[in-house]
Amino acid sequence: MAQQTDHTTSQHIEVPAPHGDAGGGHGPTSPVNAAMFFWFLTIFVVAALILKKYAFGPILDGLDKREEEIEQSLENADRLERELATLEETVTSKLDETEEQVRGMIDSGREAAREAGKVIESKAKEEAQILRENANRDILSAQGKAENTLRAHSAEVAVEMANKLLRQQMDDKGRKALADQLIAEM
Amino acid sequence: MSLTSIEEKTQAVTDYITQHVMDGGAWSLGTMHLEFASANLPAAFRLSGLMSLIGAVFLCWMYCKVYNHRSRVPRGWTNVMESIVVFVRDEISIPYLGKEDGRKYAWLFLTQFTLILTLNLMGLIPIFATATSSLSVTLALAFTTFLAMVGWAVQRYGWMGFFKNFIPHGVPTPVLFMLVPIEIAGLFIKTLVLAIRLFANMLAGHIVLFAMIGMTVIYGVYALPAIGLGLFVFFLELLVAFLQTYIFVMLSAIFIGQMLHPEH
Repeated sequence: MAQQTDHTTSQHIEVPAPHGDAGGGHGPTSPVNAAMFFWFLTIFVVAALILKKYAFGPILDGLDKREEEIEQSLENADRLERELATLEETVTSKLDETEEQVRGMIDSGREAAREAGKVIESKAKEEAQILRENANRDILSAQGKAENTLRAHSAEVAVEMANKLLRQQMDDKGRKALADQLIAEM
Repeated sequence: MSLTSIEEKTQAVTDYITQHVMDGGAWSLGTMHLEFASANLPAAFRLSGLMSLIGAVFLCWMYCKVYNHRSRVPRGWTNVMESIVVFVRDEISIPYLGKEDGRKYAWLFLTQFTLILTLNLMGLIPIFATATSSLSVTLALAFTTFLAMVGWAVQRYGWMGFFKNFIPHGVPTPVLFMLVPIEIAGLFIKTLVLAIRLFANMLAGHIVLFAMIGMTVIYGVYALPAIGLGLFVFFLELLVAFLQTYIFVMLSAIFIGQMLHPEH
């Protein structure tokens, strides 16, 4: 094949006959060039060694490591999800429990407030009753005093009026007018 | 356009195609011609040898320098290259060799895959040539599979165990005299077929592609529809480049897996 190539190209591009088959091929008519075979094999082996050491080896290790990390992260996420579900259950039950307790506390508080209200109300009523009685007593006492004072003053006035009537010799008309005047003055 | 000029153009196109797809002694870079044979260089420094060297150096540069080994989240080219590594490991190496061997020997399939793909794709770039359309190159590639098949099987089972694996269970002794040589011959045939398949596909595809494009050079505007056809063949060749790489490496993995796990 190489010979054919060079034969055709030598007509126009003027490429001289290659040394390929001279380098250990299978003869002039063979499509396989032994030198090319070993040259490519060398390139392949060298490239494979370089790539294995500096490229594919580290890349494959890195991929394994990354996949391991992802797997671990997924496992962790699953574990956390399970833990979260458990925690949510606990929180819900605690909330229910607390709600129950709070409801109990509110009810008992309400009951206590009601009791306290009743006590205060009865006390206030008692105090009001006492105040009312005291006030009545004071009123009655003041009324008694006033009556006594009035009685005494009336007696004095009556005495004084009688004295005045006795001292003045008047006719019936004049006596009546004096009496009216004294009553008006009183 | 005279008949002579058409003949000359046809000859020029034929020369270009031949030089591009076959293992010539010169490298055509537009108007410049690098002639290896005339410089009395070893035969290995012919077009396919040079393309293989460029491809291998490019591959090593890409994976050792361009690939970002430090990034935790791969991006750009690192992502593309890592996808290839993951694909070869998970879709080729591990399924046919098992989890343990698949991880252990993935480097060989990775080297084969990336190198063949690079060489196949280089053939689609006008200034380069297709190294994999040389039978010497594909034979050398298949030989690496052969070496792995024999070497790793002998390493695991020893020479006696290696040959014992060619003897199927429950077969009458007289039949073995016929069957064992066939099995051993099969080892070489598999390797040879591996090489020929890649060589033939890459050679044929490129010849068709350049013939389509060459028609416009020969017949001018009359052959313009051939450009569309050439474009179609180009995309087909792109597919073939990937497909043949995959087939070669997958078959290598199957053959090596059969040698390492003969019970399957």
